[in-house]
Amino acid sequence: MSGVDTDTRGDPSSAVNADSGVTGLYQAHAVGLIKLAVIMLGDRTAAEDVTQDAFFGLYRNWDRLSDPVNALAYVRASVLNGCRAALRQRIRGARRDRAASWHATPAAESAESAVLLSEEHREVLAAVRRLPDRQREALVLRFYLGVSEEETARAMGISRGTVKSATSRALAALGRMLTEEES
Amino acid sequence: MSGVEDRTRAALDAVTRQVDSAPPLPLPPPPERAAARRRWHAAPPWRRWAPWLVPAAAAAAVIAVAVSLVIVKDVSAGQPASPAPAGVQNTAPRYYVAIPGDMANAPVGAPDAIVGDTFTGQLLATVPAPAGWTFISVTAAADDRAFVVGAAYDPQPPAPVATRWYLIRLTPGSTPFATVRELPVSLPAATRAGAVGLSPDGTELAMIDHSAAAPVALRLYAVATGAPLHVWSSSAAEMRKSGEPEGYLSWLSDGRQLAFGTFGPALRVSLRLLPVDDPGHDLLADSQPVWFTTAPDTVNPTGERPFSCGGSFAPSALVTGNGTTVVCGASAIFRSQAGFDPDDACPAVPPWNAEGVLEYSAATGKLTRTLYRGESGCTPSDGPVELLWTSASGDAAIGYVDFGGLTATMRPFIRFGLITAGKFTPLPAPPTITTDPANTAW
Repeated sequence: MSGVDTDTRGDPSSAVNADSGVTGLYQAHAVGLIKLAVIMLGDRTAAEDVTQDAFFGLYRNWDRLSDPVNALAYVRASVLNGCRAALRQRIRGARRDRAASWHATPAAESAESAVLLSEEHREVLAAVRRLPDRQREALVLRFYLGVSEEETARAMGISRGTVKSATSRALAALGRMLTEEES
Repeated sequence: MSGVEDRTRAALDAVTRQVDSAPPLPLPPPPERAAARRRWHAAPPWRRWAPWLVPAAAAAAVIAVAVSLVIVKDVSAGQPASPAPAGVQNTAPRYYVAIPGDMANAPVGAPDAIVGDTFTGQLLATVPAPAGWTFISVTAAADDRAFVVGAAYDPQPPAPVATRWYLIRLTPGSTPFATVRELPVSLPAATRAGAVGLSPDGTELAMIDHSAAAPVALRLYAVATGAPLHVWSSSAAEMRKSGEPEGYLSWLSDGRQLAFGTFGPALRVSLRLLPVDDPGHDLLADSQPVWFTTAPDTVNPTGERPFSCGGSFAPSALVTGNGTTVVCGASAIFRSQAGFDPDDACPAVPPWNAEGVLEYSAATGKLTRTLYRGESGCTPSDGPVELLWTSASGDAAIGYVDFGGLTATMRPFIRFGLITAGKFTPLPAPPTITTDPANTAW
């Protein structure tokens, strides 16, 4: 096949080429993925960047997908990874710049600042943010976005049993934190 | 739905309410796509999809697969090019088989299994699945020679299910280094395979499966003939009460007992032992619990958590081969949001956040020692600490102390290695993209 340009991504004759596949997937799922990233990062601009990067990665790798059905799982995992990387960079940036803790950087609250949130909602979100990253991921994916256990396990890179218990523990931990704050 | 659930949903809805649209996605113009594609094709195969491979392993041979007998061409005739780090050569099995990660196919396994060197990370052999098939899981005997990989045909996400199993046998110093053959194992109709475990001598295959007839069953098969040897199951009602087997399955060194895990009410995670010579057929009644962990971790408003198994997740716990102990991944948060110091250096006075491994008695369920505890500094401990292998005595374990993530960007954050009494020795992480024990086996 050498010397032959086998780039089918722009080939209108292919059943699901990269252009139509990625564009269609973006139209259908980008908002939901940005919401996921907003919850993780607390910053809409960062969330949109992470999500778009995930779709660019999907586009570059489109021909490697064994089946376009895998595409959503791919981008979901990519968004999670992008959020993790952003959070790690935020921690290191906070240390380097001797800024406030990463839990309370201005960016982390920008999504909430842009929205008028009640005290109740702020308390709950603060509790969600006190959860360890992966417990928060499992909670948001399974409980809030309704992603299946198996898909959540693949997106997070952990076993299904861990997803199951992580979600349960996250809810239990939230319950305790919210109860203790009220008492 | 509980009050906490309602409140959480409402709060998350509130913060994402204004996310009702996405910015345009500017895909690159056509000439750049073609150029990018040509650059991709010009790269050697191993570099396209496995940037984590050790460069010396780039010469790995791709193997032609016959229908019934598969010959694996090895890279170095089974002789590692580099010696293992001093002091660890005899602490863990030399070889592992892994289902390598590929983001494009992440949800459904990989078209190849790889044989790697535990201590050097060297790729020793590549085993491609037959055309149309994908490897999705692996288990190992205790002899560091026999491995069984599960394969699915044209697997569909989100839950690929193995329907074929292949035995990979290593013969270091020989040519070929490894051979592969399909196992004549077939499940009952309408049965979905779950965790598998290969006996220490490689002659029996244990498998947990699910079906409408028996919600969960544990079956034994003869590796040589595929003949079913025994089956245990429990009713749905019993499992709701005592817990449902959730994927952990291993053999004790004597080859006469199986260890499996259950996940039950109140977040109770248990490990149980089942004698394979038991003539009965009741999975829960005929097995004995040897360890469990229950209530969620104590979480105070600052998020601090004492050093304990599982941390924020279900514990990664393994029964040792001698059946006397359980080792468990542990973590702690002592410096949470309230105590986080933004300075480069952690405060001089510990405790700091930590990860490690705890050991419990299988006879009493009591904590017997801290096998390892490492201070992770001021970064809040996240977990999970995922253990993938333990020695027969429990003096050594292999696992992830910290798992960075699935991409090349995040892999530098991975801390994977050998855990022995008081010591963590970093090892090259297998080229998988999950910490799921079903993806890497020793």
